[in-house]
Amino acid sequence: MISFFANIFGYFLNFLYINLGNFGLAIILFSIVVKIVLLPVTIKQQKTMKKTAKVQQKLKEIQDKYKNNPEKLNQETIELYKREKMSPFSGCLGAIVQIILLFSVFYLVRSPLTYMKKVDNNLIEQYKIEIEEENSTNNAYPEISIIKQKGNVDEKVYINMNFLGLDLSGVPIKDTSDIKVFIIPALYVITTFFSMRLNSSINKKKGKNVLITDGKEEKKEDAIQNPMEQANKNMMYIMPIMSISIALVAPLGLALYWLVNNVLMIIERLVLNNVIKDEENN
Amino acid sequence: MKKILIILIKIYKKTISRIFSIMGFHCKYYPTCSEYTMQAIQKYGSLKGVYYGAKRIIRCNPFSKGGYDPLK
Repeated sequence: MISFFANIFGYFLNFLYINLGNFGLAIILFSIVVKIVLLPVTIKQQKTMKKTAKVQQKLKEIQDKYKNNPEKLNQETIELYKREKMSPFSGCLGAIVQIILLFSVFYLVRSPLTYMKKVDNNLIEQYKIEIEEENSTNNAYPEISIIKQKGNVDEKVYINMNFLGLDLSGVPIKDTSDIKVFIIPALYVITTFFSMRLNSSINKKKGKNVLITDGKEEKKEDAIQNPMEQANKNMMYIMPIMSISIALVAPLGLALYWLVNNVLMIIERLVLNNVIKDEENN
Repeated sequence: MKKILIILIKIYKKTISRIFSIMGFHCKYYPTCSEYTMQAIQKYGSLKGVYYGAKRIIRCNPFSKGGYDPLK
């Protein structure tokens, strides 16, 4: 199923690649377009997030009341949202779309010949066998080796992977001899932590507002909430650690896509935050 | 088949679902999509149950209303 979507995205990425002549630029433009297409959803999501901050107090009361009954908690939460006339978040489909996108991009950078250039499968198989015979090593990314070793000979399997002097077909963990391979993952780590700081600073602001309105009670509730919040915090760190380790074992194209995504997300957060604030003031 | 699907959904609820909720994705409905699918599979069998579940997940998009939506 994922390969079906990867194929569709592949047509689009290939279109960009043909016009730009560079895999890196194509990936960057691809992620920008995807972000723009999903912008209405993101705006909606951010607005509901702002609203959520307002009903947070009530939500906490409910969470306290039903903390041993997750089913009831969910029902009550939805009822609260109904009362406050807000529809919660982006729903399950949004989450699935994100997952499909993630895997599609992984398929695209792992096997760009199949999904992007739509090279004939027989040709790929033939080259795969040839390379295996020459090197006799098992390769996790056979199509990447084909581009590297056969790209110069056969125009059909050539993809311009050079991006600002970086080789996008490199796999950080494998090509350790070339220090440049770590530039994109390093930038990715930095932007990830920046966006996490940004998120938590927005959340802290929310927390402060609540504190001013209801100082004493808030502290008591905090103590009760702590184990759950602690678990959430731990999960918050698991995500970036997971994605960073994936970025290290996958071809650099994936890390580049994530890096661009991160940068766009930070910009989006900052801009939308201000826009929504202005709307509220008016 | 039924049992395997239900175990898979239970695993999803314990792991991936929690990561989603941290990322800001929550189900808009009650019962949640996973709960709904589980009930549907139990009631109508694997094939129809998954079909109902998929229909529900498509309904659970950013532009739908959400709310109370039990299995019929």
